[in-house]
Amino acid sequence: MNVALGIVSSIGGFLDAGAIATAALAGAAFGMQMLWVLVAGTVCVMLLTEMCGRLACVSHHTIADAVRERCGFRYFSFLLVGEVCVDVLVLSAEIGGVAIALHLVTGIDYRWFMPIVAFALWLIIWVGTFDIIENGVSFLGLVTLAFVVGVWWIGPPWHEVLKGMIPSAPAHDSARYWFIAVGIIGALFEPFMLNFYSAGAVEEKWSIKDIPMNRVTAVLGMGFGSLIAISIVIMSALTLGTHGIQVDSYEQAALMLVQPFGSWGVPLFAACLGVACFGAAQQISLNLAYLFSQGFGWNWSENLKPHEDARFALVYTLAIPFAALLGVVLGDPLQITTFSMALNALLAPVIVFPLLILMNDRHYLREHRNGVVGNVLVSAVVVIAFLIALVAIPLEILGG
Amino acid sequence: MADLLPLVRDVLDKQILDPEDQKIGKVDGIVLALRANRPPRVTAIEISQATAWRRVHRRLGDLADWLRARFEPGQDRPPRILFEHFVSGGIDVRVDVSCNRTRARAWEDWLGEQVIAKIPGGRRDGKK
Repeated sequence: MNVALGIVSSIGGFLDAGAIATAALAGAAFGMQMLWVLVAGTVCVMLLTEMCGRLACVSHHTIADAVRERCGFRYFSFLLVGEVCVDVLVLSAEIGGVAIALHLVTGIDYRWFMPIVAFALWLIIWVGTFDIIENGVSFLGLVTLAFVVGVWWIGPPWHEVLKGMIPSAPAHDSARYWFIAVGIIGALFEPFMLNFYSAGAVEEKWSIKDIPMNRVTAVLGMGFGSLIAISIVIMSALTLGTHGIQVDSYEQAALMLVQPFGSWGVPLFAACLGVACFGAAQQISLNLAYLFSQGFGWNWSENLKPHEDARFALVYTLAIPFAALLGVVLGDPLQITTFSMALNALLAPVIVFPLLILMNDRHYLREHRNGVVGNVLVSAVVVIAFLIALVAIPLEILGG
Repeated sequence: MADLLPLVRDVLDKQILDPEDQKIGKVDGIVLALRANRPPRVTAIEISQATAWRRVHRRLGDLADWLRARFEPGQDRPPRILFEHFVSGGIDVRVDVSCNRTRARAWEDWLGEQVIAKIPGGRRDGKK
């Protein structure tokens, strides 16, 4: 089912360690006040995802393919180097997220789980097909609906929720407020998600007749991720923020589900964190392999046997253990996550800007190019992405 | 007048496909023959990461060349496809020569046989 690609992209790229961490931080520190950042970011991500899918439907080329082909190798090399650095860092955070989830359930030091998680991740990609990965994550990802059930169970003050969706400036601690805002946007605008989504569309052999379905998939898939992320902010605000608990670790964030679910709260949080991070880790590992293969014109498909696209298989086979090792060396996955979200924000314009050119290219899009409204919207997203990239590092220093 | 072919727009950096739609590589470079008192002539397209990285910086090209010499023994020159095999350009470049007749996938074949196939599950019968 096509919507599964939207949901898997959403769970991997949208709802991952970054989104859970930044949403939990936002709720605990500023209550409902930052919901508007999530809503605005979701609209932007829906727009970008739809465009990446449309490009793949019409041209059967992915974003990485098209960036190399239209913007040249020099531009592509910046994207490649930047994305490899950020993806490996985020991958180590995601593997760490799964390990922390296992730690929450067993009490054993999370670092012992890092090699086991890395091996399981590699094994699934090695033996699995794109369908298995897509449908597995989509199905297991439904566990994250626990956050929505939690919100419904507690019954938040809905007028506060609605008020939070209107943009507002903070009354205190503005550097931290804007740092978390950039983190939320960084967690939503993950460049790997855009390429993964377009590669998925090519893997699934989408064509022009799938354009309407692509639109529905982008909106429903990203909408699903957004609904969960909004629920996490609300849960965090109501259960952690009101008790003055700041989220310095995933153990503290896990407490948000204790009020509605009692003793099941922590295991349920661990399941949500584990599934979301494992989905994201699969997506990032594959995206690294996609990026190299598409950039250099190699054979690629998750559906081919590894010896048939050996270079593709080699990339994820090397990237996964390296990222796990990096995670063990760097330590605290929550710190890596929040830091890498700011790097994501820094990299976002490099992948978003070419969309402005590609989505108006008649050789790729033929009569399915962007209209005036699409161009105005994507230009606005490009400007926002550039502005966020400019402030990401100063805010990292001031508010991180 | 013959049709014009914008080399940078329709050839350079594009995906090369053989008649069976097999991916050969990207067009990393275009080889021109300089002729006295006549316009240069396109003789081949080159598939080589060293060529691509050299377009970013000379030293990166040298590094890629060194890596190729180290890990791709026997590949003394980058693989080229003569321009007479060029069929069409655009968002893909189509050539009339089979992927197996070029050396572009020599390293992939070596890697597949010597490394990947030896990992359990690397070479399986039937569909994945």
